[in-house]
Amino acid sequence: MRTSILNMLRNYSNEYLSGEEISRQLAVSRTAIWKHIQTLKQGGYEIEAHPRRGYRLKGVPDFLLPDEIRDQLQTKTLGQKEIFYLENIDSTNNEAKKQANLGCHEGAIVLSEMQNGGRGRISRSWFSPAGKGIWLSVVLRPPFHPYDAPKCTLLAAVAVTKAIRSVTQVQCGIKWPNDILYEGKKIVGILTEMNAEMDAINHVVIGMGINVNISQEEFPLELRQIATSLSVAADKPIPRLPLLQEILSALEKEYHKVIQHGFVEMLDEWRELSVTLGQTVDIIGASEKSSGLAVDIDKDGALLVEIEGRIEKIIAGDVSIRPRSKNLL
Amino acid sequence: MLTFDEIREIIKMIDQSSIQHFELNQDGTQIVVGKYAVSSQKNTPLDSEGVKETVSQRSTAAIQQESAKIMEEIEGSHLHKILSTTVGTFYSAPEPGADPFVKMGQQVGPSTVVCVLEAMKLFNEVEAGISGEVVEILFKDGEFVEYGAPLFLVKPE
Repeated sequence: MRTSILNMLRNYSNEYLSGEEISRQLAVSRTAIWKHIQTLKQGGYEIEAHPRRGYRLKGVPDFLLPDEIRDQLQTKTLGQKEIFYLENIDSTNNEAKKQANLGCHEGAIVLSEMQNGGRGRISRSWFSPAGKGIWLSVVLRPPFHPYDAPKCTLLAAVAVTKAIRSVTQVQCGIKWPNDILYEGKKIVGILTEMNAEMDAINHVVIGMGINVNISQEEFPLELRQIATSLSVAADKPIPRLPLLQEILSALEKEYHKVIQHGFVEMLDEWRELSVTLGQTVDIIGASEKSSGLAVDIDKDGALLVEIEGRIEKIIAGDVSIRPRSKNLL
Repeated sequence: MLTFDEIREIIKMIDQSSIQHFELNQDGTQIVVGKYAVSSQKNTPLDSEGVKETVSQRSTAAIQQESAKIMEEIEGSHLHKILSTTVGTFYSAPEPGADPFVKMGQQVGPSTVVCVLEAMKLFNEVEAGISGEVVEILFKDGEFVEYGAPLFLVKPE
């Protein structure tokens, strides 16, 4: 009922819609409508009530509510059928994996206003305060071979970087394989999890933490030097909803492109958006450390690093860019 | 002089206990019973008394028989191999210092997570895919794994 009322108000954007009209179309009493309007206002919707003219929708809250996401969403499948919206969860990836195992559709998304156990790479946590970021997981069921799955992490980084650049103008770039940085500080972290058989993928869950409206002082002390947010980079608050919609749209476009034409074009886009290539990098593997010049990525998305005249292929481990001068980052 | 049944009884009792080494000297008869690996048996000085030799040979034979059985199980096709579905780094535990996902001898079910493989920040939780007992773990934490490599051997239920 509240969704129907909202949709009617949206169609009358900037104009008044009389309580009588709503009551007639939805076949409910005007008192009932008044009560629903009060609930919507409590939920953060700005609705103006005029004694004779009726109701007018002035503003929608910056919550990532499913109805608000679907309104104006330019995708075919991503976020269309299933949106699992939560106020609080340990980690959106955990919930997405659960839904994937229960058989949710491809394109299902999980969103939470906050995470109390947001995860980074093995044993690292992700700072996810309420309402200040986009804590999102997307369920995909890729038709390609599990061998190709690691490239999904590069794909996600390309899509999110493009979406951020187009919506916020923040010129962020990708650190191999899929962190998104601005002036050397992390703005987006992406963690992808797969469940697969030998020759087929059951599901891939792409989880991302996007720091949107977190001020530098709000970050815990240990992150203040290494993390930042879009609002800090843009020097103004960033509305989350249009950004989320653009991210979903960009992700779907990249994904469909890869399914239809393979990974070549996406990998070229990655090269263009990369801040790692051409830099001296330190590689911390499970047992050894090394450093060299990051020269390229190969067809599998692995980082090619020139170490003492030899080209080494890096597939896993921590790669950090050695800071040289600030204008290079 | 101990009877054959008495000796058998002693061996049986030691076998079921936590005793590793047992010696008995009685009326000129010496019995030494030990639970050692095969190689250490060779170094045991032999007495003129045949009893000791018999005991040693019996346990050596038993050990050889046992190890042959294990070898057969590993090489045999009836052991299920859990294979790697991606290239990447092998993680035996969810985080450094935590308990491993599975240990030797552990019973697993088809959806038990046995390890995590990482390639380019894609984490692949490998499931056992079968019910049985883990008899061999073929990689160590942090080692690099190729696509299709056997990761674990499982004795099916």
